[in-house]
Amino acid sequence: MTDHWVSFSRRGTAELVHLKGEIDLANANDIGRAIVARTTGADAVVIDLTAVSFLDSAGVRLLDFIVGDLDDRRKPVRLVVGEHGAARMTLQLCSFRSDLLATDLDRAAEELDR
Amino acid sequence: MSTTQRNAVTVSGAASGRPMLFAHGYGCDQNMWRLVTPAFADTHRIVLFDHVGNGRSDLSAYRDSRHGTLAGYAEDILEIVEEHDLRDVVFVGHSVAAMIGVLAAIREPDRFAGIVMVGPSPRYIDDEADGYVGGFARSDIEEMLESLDSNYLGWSSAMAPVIMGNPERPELGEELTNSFCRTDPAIARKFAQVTFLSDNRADLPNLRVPSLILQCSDDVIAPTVVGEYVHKNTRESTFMALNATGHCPNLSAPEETVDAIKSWL
Amino acid sequence: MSESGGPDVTQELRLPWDDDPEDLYEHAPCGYLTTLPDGTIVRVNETFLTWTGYARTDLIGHKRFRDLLTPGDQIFHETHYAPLLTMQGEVHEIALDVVRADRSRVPTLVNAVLESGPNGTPRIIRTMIFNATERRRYERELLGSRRAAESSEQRVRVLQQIVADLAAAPTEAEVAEAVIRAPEPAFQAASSSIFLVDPERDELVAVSSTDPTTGNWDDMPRSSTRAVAEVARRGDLHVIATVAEAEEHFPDLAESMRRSERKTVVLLPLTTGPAEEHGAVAVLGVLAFSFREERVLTDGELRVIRLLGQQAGQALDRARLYDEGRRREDRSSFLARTTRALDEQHRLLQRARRLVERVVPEIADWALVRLQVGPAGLVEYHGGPAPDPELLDARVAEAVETCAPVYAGDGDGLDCTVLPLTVRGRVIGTLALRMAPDRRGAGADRLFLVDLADRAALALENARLYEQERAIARTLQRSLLAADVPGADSRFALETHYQAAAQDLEVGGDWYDAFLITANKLAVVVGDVVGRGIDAATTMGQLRSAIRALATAENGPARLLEGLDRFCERVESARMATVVYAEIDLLSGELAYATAGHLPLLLHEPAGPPQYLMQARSAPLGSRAGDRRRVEDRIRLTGGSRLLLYTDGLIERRGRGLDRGFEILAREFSRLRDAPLKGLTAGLADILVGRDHGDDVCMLCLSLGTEERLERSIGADPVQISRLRADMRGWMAGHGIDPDCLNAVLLASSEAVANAIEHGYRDDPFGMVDVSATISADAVEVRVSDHGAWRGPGADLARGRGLQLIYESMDEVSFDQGEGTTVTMRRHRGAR
Repeated sequence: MTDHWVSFSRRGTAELVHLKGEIDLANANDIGRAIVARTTGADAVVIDLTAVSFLDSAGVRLLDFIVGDLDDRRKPVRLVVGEHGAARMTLQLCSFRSDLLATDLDRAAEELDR
Repeated sequence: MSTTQRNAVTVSGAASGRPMLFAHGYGCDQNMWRLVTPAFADTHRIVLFDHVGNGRSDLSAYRDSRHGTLAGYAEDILEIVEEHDLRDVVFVGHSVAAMIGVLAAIREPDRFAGIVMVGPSPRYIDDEADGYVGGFARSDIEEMLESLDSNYLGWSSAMAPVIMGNPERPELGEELTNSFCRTDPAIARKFAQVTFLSDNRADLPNLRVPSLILQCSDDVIAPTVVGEYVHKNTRESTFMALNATGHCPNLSAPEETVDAIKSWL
Repeated sequence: MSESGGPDVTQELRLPWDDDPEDLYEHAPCGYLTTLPDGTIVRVNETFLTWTGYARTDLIGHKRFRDLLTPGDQIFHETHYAPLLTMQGEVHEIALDVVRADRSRVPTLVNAVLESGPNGTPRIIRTMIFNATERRRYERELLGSRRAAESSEQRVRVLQQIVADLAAAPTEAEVAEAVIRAPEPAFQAASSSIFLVDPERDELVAVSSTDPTTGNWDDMPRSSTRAVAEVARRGDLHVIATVAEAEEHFPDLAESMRRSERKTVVLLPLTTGPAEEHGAVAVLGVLAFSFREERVLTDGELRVIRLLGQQAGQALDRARLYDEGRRREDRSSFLARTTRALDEQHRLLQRARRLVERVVPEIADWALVRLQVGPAGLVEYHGGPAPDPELLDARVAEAVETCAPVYAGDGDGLDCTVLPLTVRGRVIGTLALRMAPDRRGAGADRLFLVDLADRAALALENARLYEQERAIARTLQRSLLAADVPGADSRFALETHYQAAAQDLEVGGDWYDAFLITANKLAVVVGDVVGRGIDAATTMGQLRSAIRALATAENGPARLLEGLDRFCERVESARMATVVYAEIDLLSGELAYATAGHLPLLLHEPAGPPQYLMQARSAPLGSRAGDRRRVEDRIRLTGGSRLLLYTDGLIERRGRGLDRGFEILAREFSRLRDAPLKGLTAGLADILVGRDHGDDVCMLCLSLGTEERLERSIGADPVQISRLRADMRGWMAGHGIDPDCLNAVLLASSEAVANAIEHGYRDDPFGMVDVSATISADAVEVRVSDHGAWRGPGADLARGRGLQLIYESMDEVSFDQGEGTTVTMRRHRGAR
């Protein structure tokens, strides 16, 4: 039931997570579970937020959890957000580390694959 | 219509030999060559035919438009050559057929190895304007046409049924098979006009094929001066004067004719 | 006589004299000749010598038989006689003329036998010669009549064929071809030529010849002194039997006869009309044929020749009529097609262009139309090559000045016919046509060209008038549509769009209008007047004014339509116009609407899909057959609603059903729900009809309730938050809030509602959260209230991030906790 908001692909060793639409309190938990199921064993993860039109604190919480998990396992992770838009705004407001953020999916995936 | 039927083409002699195509002149048919061809039969492929309107040709193939000029007769020859796939042809033409052969060889020089002209004349009528001597005045030719007419009755009574291919009486055809030089009188008249009123002097320099001119002595139809004119105006031509007299050495002096041709070949 | 001249016959034993073989030989009733195979005479009998006048010594050893013959017979001898003798061994009854010593001739019949030696070689020829003077005369006569019969039969055959050919020849050219083939087979002519009379140019035109090298092969005036023209004038058969005769009467003919070696010429006029009434015949041409010899034509032949002239003349006459009929048919068909083709183009430039393209290549090689319109005039041309411009200018000036066509003449260096384009006596321009000489000249063609010019002039003038009217109508329409619609009112916003048809059609009768009836009541209208052009534009203006006059605070939509029906009684052109009319109470949000034969309003409220308002429908204005009971419907609109009024051009499209059009419009309207109002209508037109649309499109979109306040109550369910966001997004967009501010307000509001659900109603799934938002000139303010029992901020670390986001994204935040919790947040508009 989360297919509407999340889909996955692989680029080299990196797991690509594509999110889209509005992510908020109503769906963040389900999306989170779907993502974790796919990324717990991953060597690298790129989360593509460019198609996300709204991101609230529940979504931020979800991303924070995933990033923390990967950091613990010393696996690299990147969050790809547009130059503008709701997702970037929310993440910036929450002061996400700038080294986590990227604007270009391909380049992010390439960096992690090295 | 095949040229074989149209021109009563007969092929004999050495099948693999170089083809010799014999063309009769005005007034006769392929029988003209019967004393000459045996001498070449062992070495050459002998191709004989009758001009349309003569001998056993198909009279219905006669077309005023086509056969109103010598070029039309030359066209017939090229079609025979084409249909029988003759190459490297030695063309032997008597009298007016010599000029017909010249026209054909100008049109398709690659087909022909050589032209033998027996008693040729590019123009029979004198041309006072440029001093050309052909041997005849225009009135002579008209007289000759009259002479044709005079013999019209006699000829037609004896030969017309055969000539006209009378379908109701085929036995007449059988009976007279051995008659020579059959000619449809009306066509004969037209052929005479074409023959004796043509002027092919301008064509001679265009002949690119080697040629042999056989000149009889005392030939009223093609006097020696005419034969010399042909020789002078035709490149790569050989002139041979024969002892034979008259206009038909192929009949009156076949050996001499054969020898001359052989020596040139 | 013997060779020595002495009498040697007596030395033999005397036998009865008439049995003496020698005597018999010498005095036989025929001539005997013995010759060698080459013809040399070795023996001759007395009879032959007597007949011919030669001495024996003249012949023996000196002459050949051939030498005694005429030159013509010598040829015959060489080509026929000698070969035949050689091959057959004998010849019989050969007719030869022997030339006597005195050069006179003896007609003879000759038999000959060739004797061969034992080895088969020819040895001698024995020749027997009969004097055949009488017989040959007889034979000649016989031959003559036989040949006459034969040639007459052939002639008849040939003529029958010619007559059949003539009957089947539909054109002059084919008749000429058939006639020219006659003289050679029918009369043994050497060649023939045919000249046809061209009455327009008064010329004899050399049409065809079997031997064009003979004769003077030029066209000639009918008045020429040349023989052909002379005969054409006289209309009689002329036989010029000899060159001398020609010399005397027709020097030009004598000259060409000499040149082409012709002795006799026949000039046969080709005539039509009753033969018995002399002088009534018309000469349509002349057939000339000639002979190499001096030819005497028999009376029978002359009769046949005259017959040929009449047959050919009649065939020519018929062919001319036929040609003329077909040409006329071609011309009228061309005119009809051209008129139609011009009608297809409405604009002046395109019509002028089409004219020259129609004319070239069908009737001219090059064409140029000049019209006196505008300051520079209009010039269109096609084909080539163009003529000399200076000469052309002069001719154009002449045609304009004289108001009459100037036709091309031979050798005028221009080859151009210039036709004035005249309408109601006024020259509006010129049409110049360059035609090859053979395409012009005939009088009928001139009439045709004048006809063409008249039609072209009318078509171009109509296009010019159309152009003028179109410009006026366009101006009128623009001035009406551009009249101010109310704006600068924060309670609503309007967006309009008018798009003229891509094809060059006349102005349509679509219009929109919006005006305030009272301070708090807005009227919006879209309508469509029947027809196009300046009348439609005028009617549209009248209806528009009528609606403004009828729209009062009291009337309402239904009564307004009734008023318009009455209006139609006076203004007939307004009848059957369709209108959708709506009034919006800006205070209550109540919409009252009615449609008269028009497409339904499309309403999109902030929540839910768009809907067509299908109530309050009635017939077009002034309709007699339709249901004219005017009804209206009322619904209350929520703030943020958008209402679309449009004309059929928006949804009608070839190859697409109307249902599908409605469907697409609703979908696209919904899709653009959050798009700014500005550009919305143009965007819809782009999507629905594209650039290549065949009809005018007129639209008006009202965005309502750009209310200052947005109020929602939502259940304590996270799923509801996204719906709230959608409403708020549309509402803010409608107010022109910039995206940064908009996103920030949405985020803060979401977090506040989420807090209320998570904290206020943690234990109450039926709780309600109230959201109220207002937009002022400088800020957006949102208030979120719940009635639950909060645990207080910071109670939950995770929710702390939500609070943090509220603080970060808004400029002012305040919490008020009493009976539940109220968060009030405020953000300034504009960039931070």
